[in-house]
Amino acid sequence: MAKLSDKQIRIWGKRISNSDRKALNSLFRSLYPGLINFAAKYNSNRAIIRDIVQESFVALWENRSRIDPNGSVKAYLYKTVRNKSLNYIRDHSKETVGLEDYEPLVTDSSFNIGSSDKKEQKLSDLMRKWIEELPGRQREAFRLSRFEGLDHDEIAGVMEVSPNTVNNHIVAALKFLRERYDIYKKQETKDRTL
Amino acid sequence: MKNDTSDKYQKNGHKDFFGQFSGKEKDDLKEMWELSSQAETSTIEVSDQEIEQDLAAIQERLTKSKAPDIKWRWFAAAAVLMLVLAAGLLFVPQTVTAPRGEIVQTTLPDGSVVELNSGSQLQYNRLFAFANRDVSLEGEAFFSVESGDHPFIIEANGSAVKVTGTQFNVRSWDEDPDQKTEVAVTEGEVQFYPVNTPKRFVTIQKGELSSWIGSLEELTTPKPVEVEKRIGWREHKLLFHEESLRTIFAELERRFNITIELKAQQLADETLTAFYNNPKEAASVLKDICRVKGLRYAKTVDGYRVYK
Repeated sequence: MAKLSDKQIRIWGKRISNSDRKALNSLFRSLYPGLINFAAKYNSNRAIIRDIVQESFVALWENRSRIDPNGSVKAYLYKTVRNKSLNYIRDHSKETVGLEDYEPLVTDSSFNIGSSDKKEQKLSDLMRKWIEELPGRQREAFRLSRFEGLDHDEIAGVMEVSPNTVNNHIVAALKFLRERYDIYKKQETKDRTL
Repeated sequence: MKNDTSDKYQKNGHKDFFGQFSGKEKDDLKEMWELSSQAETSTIEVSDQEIEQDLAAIQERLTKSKAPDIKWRWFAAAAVLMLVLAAGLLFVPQTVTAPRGEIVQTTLPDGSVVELNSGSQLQYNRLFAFANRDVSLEGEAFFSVESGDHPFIIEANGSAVKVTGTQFNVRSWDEDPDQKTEVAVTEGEVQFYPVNTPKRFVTIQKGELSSWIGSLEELTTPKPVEVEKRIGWREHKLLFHEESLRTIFAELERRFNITIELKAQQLADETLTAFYNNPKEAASVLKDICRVKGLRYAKTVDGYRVYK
């Protein structure tokens, strides 16, 4: 499916704040798969993930009159899903887990055995591993920006920090990844010359 | 779609993001950003059936929790009352809305009559007919304007129509990707101009149409059209002349108060010409469109899904 323009989402947001249920349905259809995948970074149980995302849409509807119609309903939904996911982790773990400590699940482990493009394969796996190594907040900001397509202001809204902090997180994450990549490249060259 | 670029950092308005770096660092980090795309893990497939199922689940939860905002409504009512007292009734706009699925007719304080197409909204202030005759429109409406002391001015999507006594149709949907405003005159003449440059007006005569797209500077030169077709909606007709599927589906959504999800977005700009006298349901129209365009459709909780 084609990516929806931010403008379309804004129009739906406006209609939702005017109690238009049809707009909520349209928004749901376009953002649901993305939010399910986002929630999956915090939880592995499909039923719980679906419940959390659905609850977030219900919350959006119930709070529609308090929502800034010019603000981002997308950011609102991501923020709600994130908060509900973190609450779930907090309520269902024996010790209290701080956000800095929690380890998200690595949901991707599909190896294409027999792939001719071994080097590419290896790099993407390494890249995933490096992203996992990032500190919690950096990793979150980076993922929201790189993979969920949120802009800095939206991420700031989701993570409840300033856009400046978001920028710092993403810069730090990119620099960290670059460092790892440089080491990897050096190793590669060495391997080849051996 | 229009604003899509392959680089998410550009599309997201952080085009300045890499501007904070320079030289080798800039190139290095840019390259890293591109490379990191391969780490994307979008592993969970969500099928259309699942989406519909879960949407239905939400619908149920929402009907259970109806009228959630009573406290808020009281607060809003109190706030409005304060405002009314403070502003002495003058600055609270009057709003007339035609719900989706309905056509609404209203008579303004100066005797002018406005017919609003489904899903449209008209606003005017309390000084209407005393100090001015300014209204704003979102959507489509047919105006029969009485002559009066003040010019009758309609604002829509950054454009304006100025008249004295005449009949005409204004079509200006917010959800139109071009934010296009179309004015077709059936009686008399009107002046049509961008709000910011009133001097660049065109005069539209009876039987003519002119349009304006917000991103362009020029209005189109008024040219003769079959204006009756432009106002067929008043008799519940559906008339599409070389319209895009995007526009046609938006029209059906408003007319029948449904949602139509087009799964084949690449076809959104395909055009079609069709005419219906008084279609009773969306399905009969959809059936024809799908046959012509080689598409299929299926019922959803609140409308239809159209797919290849």
